[in-house]
Amino acid sequence: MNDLDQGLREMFRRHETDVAGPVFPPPQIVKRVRQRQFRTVSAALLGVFVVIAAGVAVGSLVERVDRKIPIAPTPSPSQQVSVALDRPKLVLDYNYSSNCGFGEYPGLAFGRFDAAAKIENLGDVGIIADVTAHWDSDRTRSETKTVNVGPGQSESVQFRIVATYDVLHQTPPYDYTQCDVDVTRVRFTPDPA
Amino acid sequence: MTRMTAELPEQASFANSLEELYVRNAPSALHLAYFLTGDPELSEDLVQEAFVRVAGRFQQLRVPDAFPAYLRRTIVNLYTSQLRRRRLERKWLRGHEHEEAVVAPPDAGSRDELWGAMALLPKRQRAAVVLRYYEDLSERDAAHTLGCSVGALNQLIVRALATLREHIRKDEA
Repeated sequence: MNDLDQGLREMFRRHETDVAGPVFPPPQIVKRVRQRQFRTVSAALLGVFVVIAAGVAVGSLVERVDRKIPIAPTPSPSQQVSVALDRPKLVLDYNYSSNCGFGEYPGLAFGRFDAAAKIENLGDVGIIADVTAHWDSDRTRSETKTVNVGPGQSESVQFRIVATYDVLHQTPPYDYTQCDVDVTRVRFTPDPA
Repeated sequence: MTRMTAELPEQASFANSLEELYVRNAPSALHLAYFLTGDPELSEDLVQEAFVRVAGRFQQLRVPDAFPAYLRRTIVNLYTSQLRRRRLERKWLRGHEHEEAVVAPPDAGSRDELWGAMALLPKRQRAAVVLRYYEDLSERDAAHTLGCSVGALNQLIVRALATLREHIRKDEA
């Protein structure tokens, strides 16, 4: 510590007595402190209020924005049921007609069996029909064809079997002009199953 | 009526606690302010203003032991701040309209060269010297009170001591 440092400390000690010792605060000081404390508390409360108000305002704004976003309504179960009820009921209905014939060619020594059928779709769904024609009681002389018929439409199917006399004589004689044409199987198209 | 009688002791104790706080801290604060300003009346105003500000922010409730440090820092800030100082001076001058506006060092006419030289120092240099050599604060605490770095504080003190030495040499010559 040099002389100047020491001199400064002594100077301060010497001059400490220049000012009065303990003093009581003037009344206006206490009053000013109270006023300032009141302002401090008021400012703090105001700050808290502003923060809360800002929070509420932001919250309501967010809620309002959420409301403006369009959301597709969720279909209720009753609506789904009504859609199912609106579907058209499927109807399977058909009719058919047929005729048969036999032609003989003696010079060539063979005969020809002819048959035809017409399938008429009366329903509102397409059908696949198996049509079978047979001429003898043993059903050894028969043929089956499959035909697709759209709703409200009709289709024809032709059958023709050629047999030589030798083949014809292998079976007991019968009326070759008589035959049966049956629809043996019908199913939806496309098959719902 | 019962309510009034219940409030009176509370107010009294509040006032007493403020008075007690003032009595406990004002003497040392007054010396600090006096060594900063060189004027007893101005230093009293400075202490009162600082006390109102610190107690008004409930600093005595936050950290009771730190109240003297808060008060000291506020006094130094009020002293070094030009704007605050001017306002304080205007306020002080309003009450002393018939006195001399420029405050002269009280012992300027005496042979206390060091005291006279202190009055010539810039405010921050003077505050640095008072904090280090009167308040005996550490470099770190003094720098914190002045709101500067330790390096800046040392610079202030070096310049202040150089000025004081120069002034004393001139006086001796």
